[in-house]
Amino acid sequence: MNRPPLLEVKDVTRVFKIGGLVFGTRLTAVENVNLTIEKERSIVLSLVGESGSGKTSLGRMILGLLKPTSGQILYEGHDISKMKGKHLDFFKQKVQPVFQNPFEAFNPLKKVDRYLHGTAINYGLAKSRDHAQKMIEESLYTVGLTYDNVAGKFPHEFSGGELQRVSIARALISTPQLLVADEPVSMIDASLRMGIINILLDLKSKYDMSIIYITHDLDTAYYISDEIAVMNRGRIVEYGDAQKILTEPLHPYTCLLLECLPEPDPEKRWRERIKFSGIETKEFEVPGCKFARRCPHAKDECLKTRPPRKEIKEGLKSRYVDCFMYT
Amino acid sequence: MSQTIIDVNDLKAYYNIRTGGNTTVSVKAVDNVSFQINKGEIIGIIGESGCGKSTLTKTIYGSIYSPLTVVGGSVVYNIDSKKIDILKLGRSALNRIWWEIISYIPQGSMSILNPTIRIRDQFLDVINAHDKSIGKKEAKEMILKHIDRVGLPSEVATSFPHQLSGGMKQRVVIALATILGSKILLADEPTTALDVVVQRGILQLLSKIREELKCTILVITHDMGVHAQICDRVAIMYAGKMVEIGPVGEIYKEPLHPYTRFLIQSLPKIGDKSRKISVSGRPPSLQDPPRGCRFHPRCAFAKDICKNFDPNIVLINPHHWAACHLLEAK
Amino acid sequence: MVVITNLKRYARFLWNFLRFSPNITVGIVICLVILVMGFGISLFAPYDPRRWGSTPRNLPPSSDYLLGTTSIGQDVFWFLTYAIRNSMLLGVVGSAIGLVIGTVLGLIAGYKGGIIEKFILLITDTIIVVPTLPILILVSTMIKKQLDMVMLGTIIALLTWGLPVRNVRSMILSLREREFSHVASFSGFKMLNIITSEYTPHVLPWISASFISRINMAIGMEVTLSIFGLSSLQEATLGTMIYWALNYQALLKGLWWWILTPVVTIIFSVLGLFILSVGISEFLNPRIRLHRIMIGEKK
Repeated sequence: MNRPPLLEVKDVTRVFKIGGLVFGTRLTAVENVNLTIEKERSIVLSLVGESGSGKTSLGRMILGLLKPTSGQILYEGHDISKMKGKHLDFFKQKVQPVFQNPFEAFNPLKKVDRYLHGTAINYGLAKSRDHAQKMIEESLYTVGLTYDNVAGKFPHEFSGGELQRVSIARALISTPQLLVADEPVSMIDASLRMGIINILLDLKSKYDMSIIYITHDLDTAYYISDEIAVMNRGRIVEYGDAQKILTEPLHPYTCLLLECLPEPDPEKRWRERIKFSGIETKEFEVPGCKFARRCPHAKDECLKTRPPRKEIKEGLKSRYVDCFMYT
Repeated sequence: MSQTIIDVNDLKAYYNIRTGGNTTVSVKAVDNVSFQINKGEIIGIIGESGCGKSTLTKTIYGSIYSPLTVVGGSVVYNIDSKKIDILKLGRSALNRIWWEIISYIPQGSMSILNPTIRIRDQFLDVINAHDKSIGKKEAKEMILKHIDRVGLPSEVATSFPHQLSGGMKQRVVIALATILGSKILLADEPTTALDVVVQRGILQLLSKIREELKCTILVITHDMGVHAQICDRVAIMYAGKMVEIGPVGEIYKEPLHPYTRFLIQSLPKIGDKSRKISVSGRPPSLQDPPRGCRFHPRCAFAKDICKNFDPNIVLINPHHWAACHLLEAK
Repeated sequence: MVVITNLKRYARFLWNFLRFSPNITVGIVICLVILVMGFGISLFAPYDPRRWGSTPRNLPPSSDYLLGTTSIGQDVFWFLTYAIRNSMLLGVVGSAIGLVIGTVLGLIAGYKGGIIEKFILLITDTIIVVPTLPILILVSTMIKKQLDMVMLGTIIALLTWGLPVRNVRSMILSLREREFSHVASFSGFKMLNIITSEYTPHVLPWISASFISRINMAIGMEVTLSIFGLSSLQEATLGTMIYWALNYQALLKGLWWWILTPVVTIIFSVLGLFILSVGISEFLNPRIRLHRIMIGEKK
């Protein structure tokens, strides 16, 4: 049972330099993040947070589209930034993305089946054209589409929901072990989201696949996740079992996110006005807890020093929260 | 007794598109829609993409450019006891109304801010375009006061758009829309692409504007949670038709139209792990809508009459109606 | 059978292309006229129009000599056909070779990045900075005797391949960040396939516009050289025509047909090519193309 974990994010930091040579500033989008996904259990891990929390940057680093400034990302024990050739190809088959905007994910001037056939043939997965056809049809069936729905069509001929299903089908063709879905339903009408979310949920059990689900929508995160990592300005502030965290949140930021969910019940309207966050870049510069400026429980030490981690044992699963309130 | 500020009657607005040769295709984006907007209320319009809600809003605003054509019906404003028939106004009359009486915030407006001009100067542009008599100093004071009133930090005035976050830009756009004291605000998807915390800020801002500036606001969004939080009344559109309208409490507690019921039931909720299903199929083409009730191909309760005849409006109480054959039986 | 349906499809495509906008129609017509003159009619010249004294001198246009004759006894009309051919040849060679070099280097620099990109940009910037006309004058003065059109075109190409590198590179840089690039990569497509299949349709409008404007530029350079007598004056080009006309004071002597012919032809061709390039850019613009696909190919 000592196999290396499927994915290991080790102390990863990513700094962006924005602005010009002379007057630029540095923005730490992701700071000292650690995550592990074991190989044996297929789970859905959600990365939640506001925009600017670093979750998209982290997702891109896991996919290998962005290089960490420091730290390592290991897939099955191997550093992905050092992968080349066949090894890199293998990685790209086993770790597949689903992007937020399905209309950007496909070249508007190319037919969509190009990518389906590509995934089947370019990696040598299909032995013949017929075999490729079969693989594509199976994949499409999983997402509720048929080959006729898709053949010969350009991206604009689909609706957002359908095109996102095609995106997922494409990702499934190479039987990935990890799917990184970056806000897969945020551009889709609220009434159609559950169809796609249900597809992702079923993938976990049917295909023994783990999913990293990046979102700012806690409702869908609750519905689909096993584990959740709440991120604020680059740091994970709370981590653990999704249901526990979303029903009994500890970190004030998690509480804020939950409070800000617009509940579809007119009897339960927001009472207080929340404080606006002001110009964002200022929050990044705080040396201590990045949420301190907005936190209703903030003390002096919160602004100055990095909050310590409190580990909470709940059976076999780990849970932690980085906050002065709990230490 | 609430006063009607906008009266939409039997409105039909189609996109007549010429395709290649001599054929013209008619996309019936707004097909026989009638409703009233009351003064001082926040009314929401829900619907899937392509149901015609944006077109309805543009038509109410009077922004009608080819290939959009108003084929029938009327839109009448009731301002200070004067009736204004929007559809009959010419460009210069519309220009006087736009921004001063009614403002329209289109989808994705955060991107319409000119990236090369400071925020304060964009406000100055708007003011100058309408009232050249206001001096620069006076205008700047007006701008700062207004920015403060909507709860934006004063440093926003001297910033460039790229220095502001998405949420901040959206708030700036809302402030721009209300700077000249316009009393009606039409906001198309004001919080899409913004995260929940920012969304709450924007919705709070809209509520605040309604209270303090005495505005009437029309909000379009496909997010049911947003409507529940700030709207007084909600209207549901489907395939170019309005299928239900009523006070927000009634709609959420007892939705009448099958489509509305489906919308509400498909929402995931924290604490609820039961399986949720979204509406199956996809919305019909507006060029060639289904016969009879447009929702019947996706409706679990469709009967024969639904397939052949357009449903009539059934009034449940003076404020709440729905267009569905199943209700007529009661 | 398949061949015929394909031919029909191509014919229909061509017809749509020609009708797309007045720019294309007018531009194509002008280009056709020029090409026919330069490469078609020139083949029928009864004698080498460059030979001095092959016709009586200084005759105005008539039915025997359509555009009159020159002071050195040449038929202006047949000389024109040769001149068009040579100028066009030079233009196309200069434009194409330079564009190919620049585009390939730009693609590599944009996609590969890193040290390769820096190296390519270093050489490119050097080439861009080198002033084309003075070098051209220098070179042509040195090898005046052996300068033919193809060689001149190549020299122009080698001096002007710099700008396309930067333009193509910046287009590739922005395309590389778009999500469909990532999806193509995760679909197993390799760099070469992505560049040719995915990016080319987006880059095509620029390439075609650039190709045509570079032709204009090359012709312009040649004319400039020739007017000052720095090109191979035995050759028949639009520029040398002007040189000889000026040399023999055609204007003062009232030989308007000799001086006006090349000038009008140059204006005509440059304008025609320009209009065509505008039309092609519009036609190939990805957004307009999308619109056409949406309307045209609905089954």
